[in-house]
Amino acid sequence: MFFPFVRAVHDLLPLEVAITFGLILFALSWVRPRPIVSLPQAGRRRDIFVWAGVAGSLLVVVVATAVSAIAVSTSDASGFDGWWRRPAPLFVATLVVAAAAVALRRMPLPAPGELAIVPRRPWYAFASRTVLWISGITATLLALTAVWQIAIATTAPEDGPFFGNVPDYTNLPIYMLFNSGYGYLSGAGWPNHLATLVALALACAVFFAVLHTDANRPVFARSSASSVRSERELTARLFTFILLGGLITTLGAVWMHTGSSGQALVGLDEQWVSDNQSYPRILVAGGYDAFARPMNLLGYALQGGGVAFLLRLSVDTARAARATRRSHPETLEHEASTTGARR
Amino acid sequence: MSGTTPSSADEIDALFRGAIRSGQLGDGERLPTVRQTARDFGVAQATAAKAYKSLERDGLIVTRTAAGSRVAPGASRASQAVIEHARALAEASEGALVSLEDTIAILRAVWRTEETTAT
Repeated sequence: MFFPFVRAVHDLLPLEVAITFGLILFALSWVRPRPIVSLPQAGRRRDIFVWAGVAGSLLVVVVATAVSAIAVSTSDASGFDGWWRRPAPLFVATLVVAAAAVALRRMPLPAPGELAIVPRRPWYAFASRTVLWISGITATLLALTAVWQIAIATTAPEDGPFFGNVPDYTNLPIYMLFNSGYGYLSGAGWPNHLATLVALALACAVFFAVLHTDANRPVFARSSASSVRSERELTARLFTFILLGGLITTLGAVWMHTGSSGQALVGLDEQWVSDNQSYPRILVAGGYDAFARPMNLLGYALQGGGVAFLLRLSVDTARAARATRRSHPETLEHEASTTGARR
Repeated sequence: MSGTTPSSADEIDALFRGAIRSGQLGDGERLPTVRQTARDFGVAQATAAKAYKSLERDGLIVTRTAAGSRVAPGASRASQAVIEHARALAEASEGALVSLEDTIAILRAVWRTEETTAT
C-alpha cells in the first residue's frame, strides 16, 4: 500500500525535477517562520513589489520545474539539448526584475521645484552586504563552472571511442577527453554553456543598472529620510532575492549536468563468474570523477534550494502584503505627484 | 528647498551652492551627472553643464572626466564621512520618531559628555 504510493509520487515528481526537492526544502524552511521580506506601507511601489515578489517568483519556479521536467522526460539526442534549459530560471528572474524596474520608472517623480538635493550614490548603497556577497559567490561559481566546461571541451573524430551518454555525432566541441585521450564524453563546451554565461552577464548588467537607477531616483524634498532609505533598501532586497533565487536554481541545474557528465566509468578486464555474468576488475573513470558525484548531488540540493527560496519569497511577499493591508487600510501615496514627470 | 522650479543655470547653480555651503553635500561627495541633473530639473543638458561649470570655476566642485563631479575639499562644512553619519542619525531619529529638537539636544549632550570625558 505504502510503496505503490511512494512509487506513484516518484513517477509524478522525479528527484531531478526542481519542485520535488524544492517542496521538501520549502516545508523545512518553516522552522524559521519570520518573513524574509517586508513591503512599504502603501503606494505604487508596494503594488509593484507584490506583483514581482509573488507572481515573479512563482513564474521562475514554474519555469525551473518545467525545464527540469523536460530534461527528465527527454533524452539528450544532440549532446547539447539542455543549453537553454539550465539558464532559463536565471533568464526569467532577470526578466521579472527588469519588468519591475520598468514599472518603477513609470512612477511619478517629484516636480523640479520639489526635488531634494542628494549626492550621487553607488549601485550598492541600499543593498545588504551579506546578500551581495552570497550573490557574488554564487555568480562566480556559476561563471567558473561554465568557463571551465568550455575550456576543457574539444571536438572528436566521428569514429572515436565515445562513452557515457552517446549523442548523435557532431563536429562541435561538446566532448571532453576521457582518461587522457582514452575516449570522449559529451556534455561540455560552448554549445552547452555559452547561453549560461550570456544569461549571467545579462543578469549582472540588469542588476547593476536597476540598483543604480533606484539608488539615484530623485527624492521628494518633503519625504522623510528614513522612509526613503527604507523603501530603497526594500527594493534592493527584493530584486536581489529574485535574482539570487534564479541564480541558485541555474547553478544547481549546471552542477547536476556537469556532475552527471563526469561520472562515466568504463569497466576493463572482465572476469566471468558464469556463462552470462561478469564483472569488471578495473574501472576507468573520467577526468574529474573524484568530485563529479558530490557536484551532481550538490546540484540537486542547489536546484531544490533555489526553488524553495523562491517559493518562500513568494509566500512571504503575500504575507507582508496582507500585513500592510491590515495595518494601513487607507492608501498613502508617498511618492505620487500630479505634476511630476515619469521616468 | 523652495517650491519654485529652477529653470536657468543660475538657479541650479544657486541650489547646489546652497546645498554645499549648508552641509547637505559633504566634501568629496559625488554630484548627480549633468545628464541626470538636466533630466531632474527638466532643463537642457547645456544649462545643467553651465551651472556645473560655474560651480567648478568658483572652486566648489571638481570635475574629472571618468569620476564625474565631486564637492571640492573644504567647500562644504564637513567631510563626506561626517555628513553621511549626520544623514544616518537623521534617518534613525525620524525612523524612531525622535524630533529634530530632541536629536539636536541629544547630540549636544553627547558632545558635552565627550568633551567632559576628554578633560
